[in-house]
Amino acid sequence: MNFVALKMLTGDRAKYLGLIFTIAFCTFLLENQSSIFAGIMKRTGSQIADVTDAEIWVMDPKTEYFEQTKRLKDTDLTRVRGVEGVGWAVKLFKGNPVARTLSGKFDVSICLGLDDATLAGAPRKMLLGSWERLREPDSVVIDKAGYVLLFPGEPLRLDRTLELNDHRAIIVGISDASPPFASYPVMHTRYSQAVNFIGRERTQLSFVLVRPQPGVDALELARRIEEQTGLRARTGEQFEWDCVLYYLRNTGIPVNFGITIAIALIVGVVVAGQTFYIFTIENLKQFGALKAIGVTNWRITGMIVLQALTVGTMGFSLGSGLCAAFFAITVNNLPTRGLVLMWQNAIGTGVAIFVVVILASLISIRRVLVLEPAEVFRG
Amino acid sequence: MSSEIAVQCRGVQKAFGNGGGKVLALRGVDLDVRYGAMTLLVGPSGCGKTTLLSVIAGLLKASAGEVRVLGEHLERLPGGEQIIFRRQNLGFVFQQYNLLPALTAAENGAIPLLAAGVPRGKAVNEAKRLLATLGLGDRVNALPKQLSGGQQQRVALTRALIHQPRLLVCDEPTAALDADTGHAVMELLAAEAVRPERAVIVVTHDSRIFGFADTIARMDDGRIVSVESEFQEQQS
Repeated sequence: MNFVALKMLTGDRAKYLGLIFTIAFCTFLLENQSSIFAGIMKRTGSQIADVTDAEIWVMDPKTEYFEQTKRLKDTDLTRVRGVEGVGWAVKLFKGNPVARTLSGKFDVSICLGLDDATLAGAPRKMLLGSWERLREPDSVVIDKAGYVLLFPGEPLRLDRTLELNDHRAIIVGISDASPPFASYPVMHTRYSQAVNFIGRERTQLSFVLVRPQPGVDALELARRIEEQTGLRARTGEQFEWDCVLYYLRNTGIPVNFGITIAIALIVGVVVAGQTFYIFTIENLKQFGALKAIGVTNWRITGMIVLQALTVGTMGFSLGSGLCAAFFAITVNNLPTRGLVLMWQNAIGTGVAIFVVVILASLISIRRVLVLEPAEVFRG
Repeated sequence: MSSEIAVQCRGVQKAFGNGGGKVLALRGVDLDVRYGAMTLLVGPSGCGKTTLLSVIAGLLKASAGEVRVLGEHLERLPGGEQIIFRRQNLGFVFQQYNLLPALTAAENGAIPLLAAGVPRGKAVNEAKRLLATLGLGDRVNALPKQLSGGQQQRVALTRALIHQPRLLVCDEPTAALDADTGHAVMELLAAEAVRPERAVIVVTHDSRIFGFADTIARMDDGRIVSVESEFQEQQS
């Protein structure tokens, strides 16, 4: 009887297509908005994720997220290095100088000062130039998006000059740093150089980056550092989540996206549910005839669930395809780079969509199950 | 015509509602339906014909009395077994055909076999064969909307007969058809459906088709008021 159920479904072409497009639209909105939301939240920890050679971040005990830094004392680096299990520990500076080009274009930037000797903490992917050139005086590496922001419409070119807080800086490399939460240019330079750009203060150490000795568990070492130094130590993954949770708690972003996602879900439930309900009710007489002929309630339930799952699968596939196409088109645009359809969002949306269609079918099934087969004789 | 009884009703009552709103649709019906015969249930609208047909078909449960269908006390069968009994032994023809609009004539005709688990190809081929017998061999792939009323009723007849039921119940099979088409459908019904091993019950108020009946049971106000039987005439 499965083919009977499918032909009943596809025979009413207007409702069939209406159901598929409603579910596809709902899927597209849910996947799109939840993926953009997750992508934006992920950006809050981009600069942490870019550091792949160190596993632990050490900071002031009151620091809650990446943008919020309270300077450490230089002696803190020595104390961290003294903790058993530390392979190496290096300094990282973070500041926000104003970057200005010779044409007058300017923007606040994120300036990260890497350990002079090792340059540990730099993103791996360089589009133009080399990290080694950071050892030259006044040199900086800028990310591609920042370059385009400061030099709009101009080709990528090295050895260009700009000012960072009125200090001369020369671009010696263009990196593919992950996009930050705010669309600021991301500059990498040596620690000593960064301190010069910002201006010397009494203390200037933002973070200590630590790599455990081989065989030492990062979580355990972080706990040990906290215990012995009184500083806050987090693994990279923990620190990324700290940033995400901070923004979730302290900004209106989740509410904003949450409303859109909720509306998509409600519209999907109401429209898909109503259309499917009407579709089943219009077929009530046919179902009554099938019941009279001797088709069991279980079989009819199976037929309706099959119809629901079919439109759910087709609508979900179409919506996911549209969403994937959207992100494929926008992933290379600088403002939306890094925003992709995440598999977690696709699975979550799939579960939501299938709950919607199953709910809609259950409401319809109830009407069919209570239908007296004798109704079919009433003309 | 066989003298064996296919359907036996004794003191059958059917009430709808309860308390002050209780309506007695059947008020103690006694009826015998024989194998190999076409029995017409006739009477004015609201006299209880369709209710009695529903009770005999096991679609409604009698409030009182006894109904034996093909040797089984339907009311004593559990729900699941009643459905299987109906699927295996009963064929239905409805006033409004109740064909599935998205299915072709052959697919509609094949439904009882599909419900019984017969593979689709085999079931549809069997329906095509029967449709050809009923004069619709060239319309097997047509959708119901592409068929005339008479053709749709012949598809419904195919659906009713394809699984070789022992009892065929027809509710006003000519009501939606013009006189000529109705007559043609009844001729087909008499020729193809009436078999020694099968009983046929037709509910109708169309006096033009009374000539096809072997037995005419007249109903009024929930009771059988008279039975005219060719079988009784032969015996007397």
